[in-house]
Amino acid sequence: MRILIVEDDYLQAEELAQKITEHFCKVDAEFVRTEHEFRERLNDLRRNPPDLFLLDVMLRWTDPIPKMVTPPPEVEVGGPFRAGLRCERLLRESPETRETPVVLYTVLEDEDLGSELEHLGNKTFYVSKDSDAQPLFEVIKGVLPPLATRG
Amino acid sequence: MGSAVAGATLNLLSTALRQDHRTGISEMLKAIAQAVEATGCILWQETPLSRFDQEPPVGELFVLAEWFPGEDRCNIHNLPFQSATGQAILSQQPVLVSEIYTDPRVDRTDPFLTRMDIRTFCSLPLTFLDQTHGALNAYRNTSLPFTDTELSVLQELAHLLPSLYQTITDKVSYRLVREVNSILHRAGAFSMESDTVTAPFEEIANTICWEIARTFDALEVSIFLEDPFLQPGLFNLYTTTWPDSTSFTKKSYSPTAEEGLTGWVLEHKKPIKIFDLAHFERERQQLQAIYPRLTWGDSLHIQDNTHRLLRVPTDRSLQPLSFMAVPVLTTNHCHGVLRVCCAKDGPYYFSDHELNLFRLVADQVAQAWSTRLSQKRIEDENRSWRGFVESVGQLNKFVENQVGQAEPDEKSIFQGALDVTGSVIAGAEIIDIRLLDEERRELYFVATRGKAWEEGDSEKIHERLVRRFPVDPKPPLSAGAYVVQTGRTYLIPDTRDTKIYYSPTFPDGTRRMICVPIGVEGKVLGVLDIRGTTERDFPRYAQPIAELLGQQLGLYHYLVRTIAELRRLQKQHAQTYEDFTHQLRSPMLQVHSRVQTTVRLAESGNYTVEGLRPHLLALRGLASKAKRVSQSLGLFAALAAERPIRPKLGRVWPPDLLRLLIECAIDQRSVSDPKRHLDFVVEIEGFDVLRASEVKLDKSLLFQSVSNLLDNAGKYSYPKTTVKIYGGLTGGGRFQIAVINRGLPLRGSDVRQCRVRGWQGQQAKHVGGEGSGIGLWLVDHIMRAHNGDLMVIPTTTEGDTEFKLIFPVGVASGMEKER
Repeated sequence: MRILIVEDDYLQAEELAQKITEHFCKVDAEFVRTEHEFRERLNDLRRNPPDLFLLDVMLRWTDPIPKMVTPPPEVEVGGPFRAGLRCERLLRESPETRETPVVLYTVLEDEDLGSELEHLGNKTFYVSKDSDAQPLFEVIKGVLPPLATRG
Repeated sequence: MGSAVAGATLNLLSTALRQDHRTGISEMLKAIAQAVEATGCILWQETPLSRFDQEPPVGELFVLAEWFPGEDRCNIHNLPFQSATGQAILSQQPVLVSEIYTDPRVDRTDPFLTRMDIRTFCSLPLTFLDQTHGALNAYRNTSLPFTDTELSVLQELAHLLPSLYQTITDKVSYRLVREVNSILHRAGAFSMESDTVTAPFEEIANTICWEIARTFDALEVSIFLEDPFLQPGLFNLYTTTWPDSTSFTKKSYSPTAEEGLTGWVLEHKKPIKIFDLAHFERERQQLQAIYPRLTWGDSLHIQDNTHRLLRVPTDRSLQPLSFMAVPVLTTNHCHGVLRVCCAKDGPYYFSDHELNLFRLVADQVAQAWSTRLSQKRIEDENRSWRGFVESVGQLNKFVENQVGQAEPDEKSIFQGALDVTGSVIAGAEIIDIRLLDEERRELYFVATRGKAWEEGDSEKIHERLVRRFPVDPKPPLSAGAYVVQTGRTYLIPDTRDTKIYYSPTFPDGTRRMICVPIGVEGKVLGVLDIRGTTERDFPRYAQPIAELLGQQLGLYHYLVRTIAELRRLQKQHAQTYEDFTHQLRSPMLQVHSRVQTTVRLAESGNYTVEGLRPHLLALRGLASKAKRVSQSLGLFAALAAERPIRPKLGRVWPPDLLRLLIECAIDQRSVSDPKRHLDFVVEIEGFDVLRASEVKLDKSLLFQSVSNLLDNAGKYSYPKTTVKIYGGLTGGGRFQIAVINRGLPLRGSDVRQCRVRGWQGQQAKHVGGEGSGIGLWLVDHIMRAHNGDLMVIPTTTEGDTEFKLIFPVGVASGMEKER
């Protein structure tokens, strides 16, 4: 099983990957750090989608480098605050990834996201970040084919 | 003899009293002819330009009126002074011609005498009441001369004739004025209430024309009027009794074009009276002495056409084609012309008396027309105001709808306002809106309307649309600058008025303009320009409506901007809240999670120091971040509530300070992605100065400031670079702690902006992932609370950006010892 973790905080990404791989057998975690990187890899991801996308909602566009890529207008206007939702929409626009489960994993409360949660695809799930990852594991178990846990 | 005279006199008097028409003069001549058994009578008068007292006399005599039995008419209309009749006038003595064939004073070939078979006639001189000279002639087609009794009768009747003629004329005049007045009153022409008007003005004017035509027995009576609502500046033929269109009947006049007789009256606002149009060319010089610059292009055709219209054989001479035209005036404003031409029957001449009568009638027409225009003006104004109110109501609804949108389309609001202006203000052909820029130094176009913007040279139009218009207060002021500087309307009623300063406007043919402020609460935000290019004046409601629209536009603009600003602030606040949540909760959750992991590891016993190290490092970094963010929240809340920061000052020594700085550096490195290969270095050399220089600061706030600077450095530095921290004395003797990094550039123009709350550089927004632009704002406040400075040195050519915390330095007393 492949899970793609889209998380710009490397500490969180590392810990999350560790927890998931510790909890589930035969799960490989891949990382995407920024929204730009996600969009760059989108075609590849469409051709060869993982079994699950785990997206943070607040994501930076890119890392600082001397010649930065100019973001598209929706990113200019919206900023990093809903980057994860933009990525989710891109996945739903493509037939290859339309049915792939997406979990939005964020510190933002569902009240913060408000009506934006109503426009998500029916294969998209929201989980609030917590130090206890059990709620996340439950969702993952629910959307993927039976995964063995490690004891 | 006495009884004959008395009888004839009585008969003449009673005939005169029965007349209520100018042609009644012919009836009097009939009575005279019958009194002396004459075949017919002619009343002769000298032409107006005659000089009978000159030697030799200049001019001629013309037939004022005549009577012959049946439809017979005199077939000549002029006599020289050398004639027998002329001699009677010159000598002021009756002349008796007993036998025309033998009398040398008579032209025997005279077609009138031969056609009527006149054998004898007498001519009695008389003077009309206006002091012109004439003669009463009685003719017989028998050789029987007039007897002494008959001559006495004729003399007596000739003596009475001028007064009786005047009596008829006065009676007719009075009747005409009364009748015209009655026509106008019956039609409600003087009433301002439109529902009391019973007939269209054209119908009223036509009735008046026909009444005049009957009174003067005139071939033509015409009225020309200007309708400023339809064709301003043009005087069109409103109504006429002219039997058909002829090539010489002009249908409209412009007063500046010096077009003929009617045009002269319009230009000079004075009446014209011409005795005989057929003699215009002959008498041109004399006429131009009375009427300067008078010209008339149709003089060559008048006789042919009149022969045709009056059905007078071409071998017969025409009666004088008398002409009068008077201006239709109210208080020196000329509305048009009333003119009459060519009496079909005697008297063929329009005297000054007729001219005065005509002026009276023209005055009545002027009053009625003026009333009608005022009525129209009021109706037009009411219609315009109603239209304006309805349109503004619709526009308000549109604006209400727009401001409810996420992104209101302000341009469509402005365009809607221009459409209202164009539909409500007659003559508003070119309309545009310009707004002031943020610095209030220049005006720029936001919306335009009118053919001048849509048609014509596209390059010129584009050049104008992108232009900026300075509102510099130095004179001479342009219209826009004047309005912005004063907040008052700028009016140019006529651009040809050289006393008014105006710079060339767009388009070139602008004739008038109104420029009003767009503003709210006395503050000018822009200008609304309205321009016209035709002769048509703006209606008098144009300015108040434009000013109201300017205020409306000011409100709309202010509303849209305020709502946009509120939305922006709302969004900013929401994002700030989310950002704080993210920045605080994330490290707290991670701390909790990692503590659990670390404890589990420790309890398992299955660990190494190296294995624990990354968790412990991550823990310290995350805890430090959590502390920084929570402290930020506290400071933010205090400053937002306008509570100043009050640092708890304590002297700082080099080891303490270095420890704090190094810990901050380690904490920041702990949370930086190792793949970016960022290094954090503290140069310890410069801090020894703290032993000699007393620097007091709040360590907790210093931690906040340094952590904020390092957090920024961590976010914005390029990979594989070093963030350096150093300290020391500045050139000005103050103490500095500096953070220098290489990454996203900070331009000179951003130096002041970067410490404004909420500001983030354009590129910084995209690499931060989190952050609301309050970091440097807090640092700036902290430093000012210390009586110090945050100095920002923008990106140098080497690519480094530097941030310095500058603290004041006191002289060390030596009493306090380093701990």
